[in-house]
Amino acid sequence: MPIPLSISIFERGANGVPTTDFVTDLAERADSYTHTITDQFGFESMQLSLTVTLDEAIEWLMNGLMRSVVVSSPDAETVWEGYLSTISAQIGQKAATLSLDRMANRVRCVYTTTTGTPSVTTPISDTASQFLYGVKDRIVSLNATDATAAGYRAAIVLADSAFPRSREATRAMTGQQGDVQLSLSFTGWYGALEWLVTGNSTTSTAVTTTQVGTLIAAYTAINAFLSSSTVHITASGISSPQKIEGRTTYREAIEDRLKLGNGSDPLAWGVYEDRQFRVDPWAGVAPIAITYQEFLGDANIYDAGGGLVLPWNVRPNAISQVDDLLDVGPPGGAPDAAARKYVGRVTCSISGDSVGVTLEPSELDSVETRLSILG
Amino acid sequence: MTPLVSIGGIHLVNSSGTPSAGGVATAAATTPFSIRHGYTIGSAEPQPLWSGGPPFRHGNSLIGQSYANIEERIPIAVLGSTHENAVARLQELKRALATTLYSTPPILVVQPTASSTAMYSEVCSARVQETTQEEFEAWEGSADLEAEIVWTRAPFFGLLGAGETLLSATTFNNTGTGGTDNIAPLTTGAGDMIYEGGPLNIKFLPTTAASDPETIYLASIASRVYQAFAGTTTSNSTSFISIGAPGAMVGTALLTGAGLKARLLARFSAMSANAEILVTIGNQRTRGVIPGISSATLVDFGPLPIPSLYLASVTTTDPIDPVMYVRSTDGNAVNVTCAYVELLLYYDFCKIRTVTGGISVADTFYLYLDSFVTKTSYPALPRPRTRAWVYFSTGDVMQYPCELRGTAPRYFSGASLYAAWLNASESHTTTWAATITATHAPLYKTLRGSG
Repeated sequence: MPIPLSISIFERGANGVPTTDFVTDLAERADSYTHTITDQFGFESMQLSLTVTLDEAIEWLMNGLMRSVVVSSPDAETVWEGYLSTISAQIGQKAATLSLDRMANRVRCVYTTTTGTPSVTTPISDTASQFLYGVKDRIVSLNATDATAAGYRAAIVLADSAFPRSREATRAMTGQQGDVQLSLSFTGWYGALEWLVTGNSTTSTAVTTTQVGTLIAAYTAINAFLSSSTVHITASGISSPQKIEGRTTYREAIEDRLKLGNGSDPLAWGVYEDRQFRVDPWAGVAPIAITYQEFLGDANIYDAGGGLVLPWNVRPNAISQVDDLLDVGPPGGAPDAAARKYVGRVTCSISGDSVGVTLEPSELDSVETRLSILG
Repeated sequence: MTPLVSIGGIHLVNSSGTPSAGGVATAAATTPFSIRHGYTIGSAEPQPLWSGGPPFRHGNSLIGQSYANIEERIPIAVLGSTHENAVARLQELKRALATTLYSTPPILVVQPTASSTAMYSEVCSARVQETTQEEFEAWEGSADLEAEIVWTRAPFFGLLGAGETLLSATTFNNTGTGGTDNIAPLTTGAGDMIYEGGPLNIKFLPTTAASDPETIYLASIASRVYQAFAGTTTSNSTSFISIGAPGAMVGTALLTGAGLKARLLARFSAMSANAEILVTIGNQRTRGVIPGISSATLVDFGPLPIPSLYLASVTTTDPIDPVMYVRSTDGNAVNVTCAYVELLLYYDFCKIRTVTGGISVADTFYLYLDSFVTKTSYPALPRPRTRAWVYFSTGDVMQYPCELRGTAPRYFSGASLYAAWLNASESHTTTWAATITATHAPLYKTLRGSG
């Protein structure tokens, strides 16, 4: 069956900022589609595979990185959003991969002097790369050295990593040559919060979710990837010190605050539709409030009212229950029981002959899940 | 009379009933080709998507279906004046079958005997293999050769031309009420796919000066219920408060409409940027929508969170009874006044974002949804996916591709077309007008007849 989603690709703008310049809809070309959404990331990852011509593969490798994607359902609802982070083309026996994962175009070196005094070099940048993709930090370190040597180290790393690099070996062997396969890997916008580092010497306290809004605003002032709107950030009601160790990523700083929950229960968060940051109460607080119903003889997911929930519309931070399994008297505060579980991660997969969704608990057991998060 | 069968301009049946030895293959009266027994026009095999089944329950549920290409085998003969002449005709056929990746796919034309109507399909890939004839191999040098064409063709047949016009420059006003509103019934379409969704090409031409639509909603609907509703609030509450219920709306088509879904849209005559709105249906609720503007607008709440009413044993007449809620996102007073709501019972719904700033009415731009091919002398067959483009009216010059989210409207028997649009500021004005032309490509799975 054809991929029933719209997969709209938009050009990257200056400094990697997503634009509304429509490029194409890949749904008609895709052979398979998979996306993941998690309760502490939001839209996490999306992979597309498609058979293309040689010219198309080259065009994607040349121009594709940092293009943005908006995936929509057949009912025009947003299913997933993110940016293109890795392009892999298998051209016969030859493979070509370019990825933003190990790119860094602003580098500084943290070092200790020969007398043990800690210091850091002034950041050096590759502005050409930043104009294409936005700013992405890397910090390297040296011990027992001086500022000049630390500067050399930063310069070498910048030269090596300022632009996307290939990670594939090519082969020249007899045997079947194969066709041209393109694999596009997208990352949710939350992943871009790892691109920049920050720090704060203020020791006074502030509401944790207010601090998150401030951090997002500061981030978007450099990389205008996310919406600075805080309308979907539910106040945590608790405060914590505002101090942030120097050279902490924005993601780490945000998660350090949100992992405090609301003082008694965890929170769920992530970047979702329209690149807006959301913080929501944890669904596990009230596990008897069922979000999704599942049935043994049925491959569908239903909401609490019995309405069909299509696989691509299933979201994490939810309680799912298999109604055929009647377990008697689970503890009232237990999110997971014999027949129900807290859903921390969902994976939707569509291929030529199947459409499905996997609902995973927040504890990661599957090797696949762990590997996908490691990237 | 004989049937007409040609592929890529090569006639496989001589109109006299007898192949012309050494004749010209590009004319029915002189072709040296003939079709042997054993060719049946294949019907595209549906590719069903099943849900559920044993061991947990009896049977499986059909939840989706589409059609793949068809492989067909056509035994043929060619009567040359000499062996070389026969081989040359076969080469002509092979070349005609190989144009898909070079120019356009070869067109298969079939017109049964005594039929006044032909049908057309396209062959994607093919090969010709000479076969043994009465114990003689083709390489032995006879002028009378037999062969087999094996081709993979598109699942459907279509007609030549621009399709059938179901709406001809029909005026739509951007409002849910009045003598001329935002829906128009599609006239009866032809073909085998009228219950499965036939492709529609839609031309949307805005006519009100300075309306410049940037966002356009289009849907193929079974029905639209309009309900005036003056719910209003100026509260500064950051918790949702009810502004009332528009009233129960009929959704009985959902009882027997397996392909129908329910969707709610609401027009607000006043809106503030700090307002968030949602709708509840019983104990279910839509997502909150933050229009983010301070002018009259149309809000799409998306598919309604209601259980499937399909073949429900016990139902009420008016099963959809929404309640609308509003809150302030920042603690400042909102100014929200609803004007009306529309309940769509729809097959397909899409949202098209045209260009930044909208389609210029002054420059006579229009939006075109291109679902099937309408080239001269080419069959009207569906494209892999509907494309949305902005065109300049003078000379029909293509300008920009547009983002299309959702499913482009298809033709369903008895359906109507719904349209609503917003300008670049996401404002909605009920006095805006547009004309819409919708053409449909009838598709056939095998024989067409006169339908």
